[in-house]
Amino acid sequence: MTEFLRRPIVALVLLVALNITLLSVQIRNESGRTLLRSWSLAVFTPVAWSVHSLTGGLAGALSRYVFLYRAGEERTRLIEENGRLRVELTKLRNVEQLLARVPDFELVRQQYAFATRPAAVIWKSPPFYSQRLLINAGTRQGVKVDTAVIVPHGIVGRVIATTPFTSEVELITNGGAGAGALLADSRLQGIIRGDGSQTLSWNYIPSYEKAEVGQTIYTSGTDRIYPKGIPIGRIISSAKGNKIHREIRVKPNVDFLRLEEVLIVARN
Amino acid sequence: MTSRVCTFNDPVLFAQGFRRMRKLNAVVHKWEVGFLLLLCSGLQVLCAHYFRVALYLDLTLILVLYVGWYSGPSAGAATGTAFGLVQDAIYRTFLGLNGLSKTVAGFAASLLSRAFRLEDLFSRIILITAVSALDSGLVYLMLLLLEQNIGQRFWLDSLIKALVTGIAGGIGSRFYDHFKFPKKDFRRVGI
Repeated sequence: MTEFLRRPIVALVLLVALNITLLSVQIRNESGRTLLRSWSLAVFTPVAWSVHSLTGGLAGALSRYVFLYRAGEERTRLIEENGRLRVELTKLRNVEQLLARVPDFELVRQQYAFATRPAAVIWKSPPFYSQRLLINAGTRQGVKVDTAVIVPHGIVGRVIATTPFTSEVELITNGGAGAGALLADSRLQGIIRGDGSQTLSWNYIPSYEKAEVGQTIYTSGTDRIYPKGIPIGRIISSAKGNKIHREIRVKPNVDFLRLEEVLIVARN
Repeated sequence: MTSRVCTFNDPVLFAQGFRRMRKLNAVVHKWEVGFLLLLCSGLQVLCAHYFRVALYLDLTLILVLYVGWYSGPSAGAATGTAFGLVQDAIYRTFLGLNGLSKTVAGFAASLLSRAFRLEDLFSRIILITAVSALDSGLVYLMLLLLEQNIGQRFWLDSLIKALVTGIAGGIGSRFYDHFKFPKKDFRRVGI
């Protein structure tokens, strides 16, 4: 090993790499990220794409041809679900028409109005290292830094870096991640925070307020990232903690270990 | 009885011969490199503050090349990194910009010293001028890659710097050689 390191060309490569690393750590791009981070993302993206395409192709071939015998069963289930959803849609349209008659409804509606775009998860970081993932949509698809990423039953996180065709998403459970949150029943508002574990903490809830186990909390829209009204999770513990604020833990609705597709929010 | 002759076909003997040759040529000591680094840093600090025109003389490059000539490529590259980083710190540019270019310069100097006879003043001037131009080219390339603004006078300044550094470096290193090795038999260099 020592002999290997003493080889002139190895020494040159190591020293050049040291200098390039020093340079890339100091210089930041337009979005404020160091060039080292952007470069590593740019280098890593094709690898993640290839792995995703390969595994996706294999899984697709298996599901299309090998497990085709389940297609009939699946079709019946989808027809049933489609019917149920049509009924739900009709009911919601009726409610919307009803609410449209209320003055200033448009102002309220804008808070809930957002379009989504689906994307596939092509890479996940090991959970013990950092809680991030890579999705196959980037600036070419209109994704920007701080774009919210959700699934129908909960929030996933926000975009922290982009390339033309991929984006890096920081999960809401990552240490330092956060979102404005409110309790469905009492409209009590606080800030939900990730700390690197699989659960979240809901902060700044006064100790005299009620927050009971099993209650669902939603995004409040006050963080200007996540749209209002998206479910976050359920309270799993609520203690008085210090005398001012309650200590509340929330289990996210999203199972981050099984995440395969997400929705990118495009604000109106 | 067969005697073992150092040939390129026998890697062990070749390596031994190479090490012996390097020991023979190892005339730049570590303390001397440290002393040159201190001297160079001091002069550059003075020039950067009081006499900016003198910065056309790339003293760091001359010293890196000098150390590179009299040591192996690894030592030349390592010296280039150390001297270049100090230069970056003094000039308050991005740390690693001159570090990178001087690393390559130190490495190249060591390799070139085996290909050229550098006892001649003219060849020293040519070589230092060429390496100085290479150094500027590398800095330009890095600035371009890092999407930084490059001054309009960059190439003119680089040309002046290469010429000044080449002439001053050739004469200076020759003078230093005569002072350092008053009785050196230059025929032994480049075995």
